[in-house]
Amino acid sequence: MKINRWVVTAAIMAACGTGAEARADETSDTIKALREQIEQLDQKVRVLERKGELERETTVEKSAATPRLTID
Amino acid sequence: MNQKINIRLKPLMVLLPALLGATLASEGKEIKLLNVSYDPTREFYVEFNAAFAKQWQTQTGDKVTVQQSHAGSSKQARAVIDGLPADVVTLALAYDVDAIAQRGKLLPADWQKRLPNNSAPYTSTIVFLVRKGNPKGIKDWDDLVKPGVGLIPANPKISGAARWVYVGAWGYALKKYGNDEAKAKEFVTKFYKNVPVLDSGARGATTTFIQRGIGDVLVGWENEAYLALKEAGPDKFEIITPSISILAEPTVSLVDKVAKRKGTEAVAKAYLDYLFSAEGQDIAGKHFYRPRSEKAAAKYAGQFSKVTLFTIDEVFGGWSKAQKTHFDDRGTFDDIYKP
Repeated sequence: MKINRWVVTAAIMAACGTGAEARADETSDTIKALREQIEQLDQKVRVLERKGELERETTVEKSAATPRLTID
Repeated sequence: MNQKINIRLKPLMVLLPALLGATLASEGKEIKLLNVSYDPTREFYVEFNAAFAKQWQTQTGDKVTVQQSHAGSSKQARAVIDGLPADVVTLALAYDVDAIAQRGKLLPADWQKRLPNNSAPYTSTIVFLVRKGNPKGIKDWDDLVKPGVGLIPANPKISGAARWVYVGAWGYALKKYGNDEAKAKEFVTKFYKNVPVLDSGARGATTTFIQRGIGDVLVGWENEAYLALKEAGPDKFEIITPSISILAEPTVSLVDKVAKRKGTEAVAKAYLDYLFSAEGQDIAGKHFYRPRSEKAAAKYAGQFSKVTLFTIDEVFGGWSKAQKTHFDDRGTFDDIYKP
């Protein structure tokens, strides 16, 4: 009987442990997924900013190259 | 009293113009040259120009100042055709100098035969610069077309480096798929699907990758990659040399009509010759270009990884054909790249 009690206790502890580990794995997976999403969003923002910079550069170059007529 | 002064000053007044003339002659003429070049040659030509100016002054007494202009190679060729008064051009590829000869009529069609090595004083190739630790596990061209890999090349319609990148990728695919053009096109299409932003020049692409932190791989000039590594530090980036790549041959030429008009032909020719001299070749090696001379090539061999190189003639039958098929309006690149 004593042995059975020990077995049950051990089983419960193991189960609890596994659950905690599973929760920890779940949390770390979620964090990993969130981190990846943040990195992807960060890249998207950077790309949009850079495209804006390049467009502005092109506009400046084009306006510098456009001949201007002034009438006094 | 006045007479006395006149008598004393007379010899001086006779000597003064002679002395002034001698002084001016010893100072020499002031000459200005304009070198219109492609994007990442800035640092190389700063050092080269100073060395040439020193050598020219020692040789002739004349003081030469070389002004530099840098941007994407095709853009620079167009600027020269449109009137930018370049005494010399040092561009990323022969096709851009051909354009100046054919469309601008500013130099003879056989310009490439005037200097050694088809007027290409140094060579380079295309390599990959990745972030430290190589997080995407890039080893060769195949890894660049995997989903989720961000590539940063420049725009092949404007930049010479970018056209070398394109032909490098295409050449690799042709070799891999037994010269199957359809499969090569599929490969290069996948490559450009991984490109989030196209810069107008190689230096801009470096800015996008290094300073703006965009993408996983900078695909571009070997010399630019080594320069970036030197400046940013090996703790931030790594260079990956693919198994095979393209032999990139940047070419140089006198812009005959401009130099003749400005009276700078002799010094401009000497400037280009100096690129092939021992000093010029050494400076090229120092700036991570692959020198042509055996001595300089041997001196700097250790700084480059070994790579099998193929030429534009082998794979595309020359630049004219490649340009017409791939980069002209409605060419293959326009079909492939849909931003």
